[in-house]
Amino acid sequence: METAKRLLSVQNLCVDYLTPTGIFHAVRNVSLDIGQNEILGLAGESGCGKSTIAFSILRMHRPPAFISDGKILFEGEDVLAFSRRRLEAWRWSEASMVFQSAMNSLNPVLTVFEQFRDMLARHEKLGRDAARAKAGEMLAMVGISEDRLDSFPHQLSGGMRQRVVLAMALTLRPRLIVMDEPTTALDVVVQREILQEIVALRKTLGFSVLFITHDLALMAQFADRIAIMLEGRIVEEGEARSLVAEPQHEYTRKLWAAMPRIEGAAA
Amino acid sequence: MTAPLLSLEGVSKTFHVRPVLGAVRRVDALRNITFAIEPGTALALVGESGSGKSTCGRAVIRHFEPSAGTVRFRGENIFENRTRSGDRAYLRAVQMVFQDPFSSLNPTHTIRHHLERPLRLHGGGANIEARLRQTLSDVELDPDTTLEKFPHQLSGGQRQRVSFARALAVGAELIVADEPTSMLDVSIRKSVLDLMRRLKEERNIAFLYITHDIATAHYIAEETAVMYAGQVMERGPSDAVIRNPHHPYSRLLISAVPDPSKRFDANEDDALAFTRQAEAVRAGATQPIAGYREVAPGHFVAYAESDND
Repeated sequence: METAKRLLSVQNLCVDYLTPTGIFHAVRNVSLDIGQNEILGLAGESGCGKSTIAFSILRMHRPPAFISDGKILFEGEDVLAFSRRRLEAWRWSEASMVFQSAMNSLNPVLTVFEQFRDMLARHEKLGRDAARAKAGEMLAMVGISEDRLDSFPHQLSGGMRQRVVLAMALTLRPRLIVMDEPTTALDVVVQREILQEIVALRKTLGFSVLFITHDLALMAQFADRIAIMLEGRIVEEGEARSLVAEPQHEYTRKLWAAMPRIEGAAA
Repeated sequence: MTAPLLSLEGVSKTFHVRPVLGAVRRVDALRNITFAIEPGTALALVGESGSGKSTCGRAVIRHFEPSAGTVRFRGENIFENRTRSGDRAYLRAVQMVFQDPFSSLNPTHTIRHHLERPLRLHGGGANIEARLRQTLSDVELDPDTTLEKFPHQLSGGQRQRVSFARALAVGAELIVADEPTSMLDVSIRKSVLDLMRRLKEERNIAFLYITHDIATAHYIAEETAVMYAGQVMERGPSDAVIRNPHHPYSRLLISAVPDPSKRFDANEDDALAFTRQAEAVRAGATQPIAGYREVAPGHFVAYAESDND
């Protein structure tokens, strides 16, 4: 009954890019599982295929990228076989995504409330008032006051925008949230605030996270399990603790060694 | 003790932002900044985005004149008694390396052009070809293959090396490096930091290293200054400031640096408490600074008027 505990199971996924010079294999035969309520960290350098995996899981990859082989199972259902309608209903409500750049993932000409309303009207058929109440409640949950509902994205700081995106991703209580470098553009204090909030919300709401970053130290603090990617392959996977304490693969050790660290800094 | 190469004394800069609509807004980007850099040492300016650390770097490269205070280079006020030859010497001696290696090099020109032009502008002289090749080897790039390449044919790390080569070519004495590694991959970040360290030790080049990454500041800089809201909260030897921060804001900033040995606690109250504490500390840190206390030799901590004891 292993499968019962798994929320997402990616099996032998291959994603290729058609380029003028030939086919580029961005993701090569990658398999990974995410359990219920688990945070899986995916780390690697730029160009290793980690974002391609994130996009593929939600089937948001666009040509020239295509999935050439493999399966993506969400609670046993094949995501790659979803019809267009099923896929649209599935996104946001069961699986959502938080992108790296919060500025680009919010529509600059719509207020925060309008962005929520788009999603709520489409998925929940909520009226204006109900949507407003729901949006306000979600903002409060991520620590933003309700009177920010009528602000435009440019009136919010980077950290607040990222919180808005996070609140939107959580609104329909999805089981899985894919986070692609959600805090890379933010400074350390705000990053810490947001990630602690995610950890706390996971405890109250219960969801799984695929967390993508290049910051191994951050990942070690935040993820339950970590997978390290190199050139389209997963080279090492394991419990966060053991990956920190005794990395097995040479590349993982190289990544650790490449980071200057402060030993024994004050708390 | 040698005379400092660069010193800032009470430097302030106020911008007046004039939006298309609405009233003029006053922004105090720098408030009473004081620090000094000795030849062949590095000072790291750390802080979150918007804290004024890049503005500080831009004042040093004379991008604008401060509203108050003086910037001295080898004891001379850089905004006074300006002569053509003096300006030229300053522009030669103080070089800048930017954050984004993808936009700081001209995509339509070869690496040769990028290095040759500053050499010719600043005296040039004989043996330009030999010096070009020497400069590239100094930053660990292969002159045979690199010179005729265009920026897009190089990786981010290599491009950043070219930026350092450009500064070296004209004989920089102070390099203002504004987040030079933040856009590079983790695995090459350290090699660029090592290059900076080597330039510092072997060539006696001083660095004003602007960063939000405290671990790299500790790795490269002898001294660290923590900035917030345009003011220096704490400055002193890097090790003392980072391991034993005194100011509440420095403590907050340094406690938030990811540490793989500490897991986030999955407790809503803790998350809230951290956010509240962060807000309180930030609010306190925006208050004007009344002065500095020297807690250890060379280690200065700011205090506000409100917490005078």
